[in-house]
Amino acid sequence: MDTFALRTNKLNLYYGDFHALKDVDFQVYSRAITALIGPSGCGKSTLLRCFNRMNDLQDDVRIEGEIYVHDERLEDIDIINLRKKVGMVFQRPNPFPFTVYENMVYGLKVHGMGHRRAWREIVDRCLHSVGLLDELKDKLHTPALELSEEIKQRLCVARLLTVEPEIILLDEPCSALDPIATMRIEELMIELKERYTILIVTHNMQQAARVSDYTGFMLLGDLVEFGETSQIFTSPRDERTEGYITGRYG
Amino acid sequence: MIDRTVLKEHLVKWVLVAFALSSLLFLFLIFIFILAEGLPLFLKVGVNKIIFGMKWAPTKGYFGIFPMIISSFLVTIGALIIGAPLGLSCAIYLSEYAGKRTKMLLKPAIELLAGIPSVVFGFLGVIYIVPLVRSYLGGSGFSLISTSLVLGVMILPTIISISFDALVSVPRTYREGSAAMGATKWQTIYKVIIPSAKSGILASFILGMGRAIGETMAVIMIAGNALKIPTSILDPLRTLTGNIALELAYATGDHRLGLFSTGVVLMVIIMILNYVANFGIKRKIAK
Ligand SMILES: Nc1ncnc2c1ncn2[C@@H]1O[C@H](COP(=O)(O)OP(=O)(O)OP(=O)(O)O)[C@@H](O)[C@H]1O
Ligand SMILES: [Mg+2]
Repeated sequence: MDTFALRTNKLNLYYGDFHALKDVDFQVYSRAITALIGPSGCGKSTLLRCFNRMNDLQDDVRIEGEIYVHDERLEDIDIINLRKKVGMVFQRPNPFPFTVYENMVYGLKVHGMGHRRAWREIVDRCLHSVGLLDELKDKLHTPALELSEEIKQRLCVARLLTVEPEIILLDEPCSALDPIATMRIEELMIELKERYTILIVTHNMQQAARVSDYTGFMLLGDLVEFGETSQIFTSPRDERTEGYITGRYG
Repeated sequence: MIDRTVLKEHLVKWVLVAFALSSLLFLFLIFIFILAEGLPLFLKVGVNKIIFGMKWAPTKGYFGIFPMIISSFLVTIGALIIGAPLGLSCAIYLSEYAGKRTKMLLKPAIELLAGIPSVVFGFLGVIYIVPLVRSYLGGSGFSLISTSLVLGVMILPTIISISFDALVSVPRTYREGSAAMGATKWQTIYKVIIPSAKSGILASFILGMGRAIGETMAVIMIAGNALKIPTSILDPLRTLTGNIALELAYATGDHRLGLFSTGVVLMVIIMILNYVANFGIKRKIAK
C-alpha cells in the first residue's frame, strides 16, 4: 500500500548530545497537505529537514530509525535524486542573485534536464502554476532580488516545480510575508495539492487549520498527536494538544 | 568639576580628529609633491613624447617611458595569469572545503606570506627561478616570465584573503537553496557561490594587480631592466617602478624630473585600479 508519500518509524535525531526528535512515527499522505505545528524549538524544522536530508549539511547530527519515501528507504535513494523528488521552500525567500530566468532554469541545468530550447516552455508552465506568468512574462531578465517578498517566495516554489518534484516541503513559508501575501500563498498551496504532496511547518495555527488536511502536533521533540486536521482542531485526543490549540503555550 | 570632564572629552575628540585627518593630509601632500615635481616636465617635453616616447635617455633629452608602461602592464598581467587561478582556488578551498583546523593552519600561513619582505622574494627568484628559466627555456633567465612567476606568488595573499572574504559572505540561504534543489557541492560553488561573490573576487584581482604594478625591489632583481618592449616571455624588461628605483640615486636636473613624471604615470594607474576595485566592492555591498 502506498498512500503515504513520506513515513518515519521510530525516528530519533540528536544534535550532539541534544535529543531533538524522540521516537517520531509520522506519516504524510500523498496529494494532500500535512501541517506540522508546535511551539518554537519543538523540532518541526528538524523533522522536515530529515526528509530531504538537509540536516546532512551540518556536522554533529546523528539520526536513528527509518524514513521511507513511498516505500523506498531514504538511505537507498541517492541524495541528488532525493532532493529532486523532495523539494524544499525556505522560511525566507531565497532566490539566487541572478535574473528570474536564471533562477528558473537552475534546477534544469543542475539535473541536465530537457533541451535548452524546451526550457522556455518549462519556465512558462511553472510560472503559470504559481500564478506568476502574467506578472513575470516580460520581466524574465530582471534580477530576482528586486521582486517583492511574496513574488520571491512564489518564484522559489516555481523554481522547484521545474524539476518535477513529487513532494514539497515548506518551512514557515509565509513568516516573512504580510497577511494578504500569506493568503495568496495559502491559495497556491491548495491549488498545488492536486498534483503534489505538501508538508508545511507553521507556527500559525489558523494557517494549519485553513490549508491542511492532516496535522501533526509536536512538543519538545515528541510527535504528540497526528490526525485529520478537523479532528485535531475540534476534538484533540491529547490534553497537551488541546492546551496548545486553545493557546495555553505561546 | 563637570566642566573639566567635558573639556577633557572635547580635547580627546579633537586630538583624535587631528590624528585621523593627518593621514589624509599626508596623502594630499604626497600627491601635491609628486605632481609639482612631475608635471613641469610634461609641460616642457610634451605629454605625448613622455607617455608614447620609445626612447629613455634622460641626459640626452629623451624621456619616453612607453616601453616601461607596456612592461609594467605585461608583468602585471603575467602575475595575474599565475596568481588569479591559484589564489581563487585557494580561497575556494579555504571557504568551502577546509575544516576548522586546516583553516586555522592556512590563514596565518597566508598572512605570513604577505609579511615576507619583497627583497626576499627577489632573492629567491634570482637564486632559483632565474637559473631554472635559463636552463629550461633559454635566454638569460632575467625575464618577463621569471618576474611574472615571482609577482604571481607575491600577490597571492591579497587575492586569497579578499576572495575568501567575498566567498564566505555569500549567504547560507543561497547554499541551502542550491543544495535543496539537488545541486552537488561543486555545482553549488561554481553556479551559485562564485557568481554571487563575483564582484569581490574581481576586486581581489584588481587589488592584486595594484600590488604587482607597484612592486619594485623583487622586480629590479629579476626583470633584467632592459630598456625595450619585450617581444617574448624570455626577454628582460624594465618597469615604471624599477626605473625610478634604479636611477633616482644619481639623477639630477631634468633626469630627476623625468623620474617624477614616471611616478605620476604610476600613481595615476594605481589610482584607477583602486577606484575600479572599490567601485566593484561598493556595488556588491549595495546589493
Ligand atoms: N544545528 C543545531 N545544533 C544544535 N541544536 C539545534 C540545531 N538546530 C536546531 N537545534 C535545536 O533543536 C531544537 C529543534 O529545532 P527546530 O529548528 O527543529 O525547531 P522548530 O520547531 O523548527 O522551531 P521554530 O518554530 O523556532 O522554527 C531546538 O531546541 C534547537 O535549539
Ligand atoms: Mg523552524
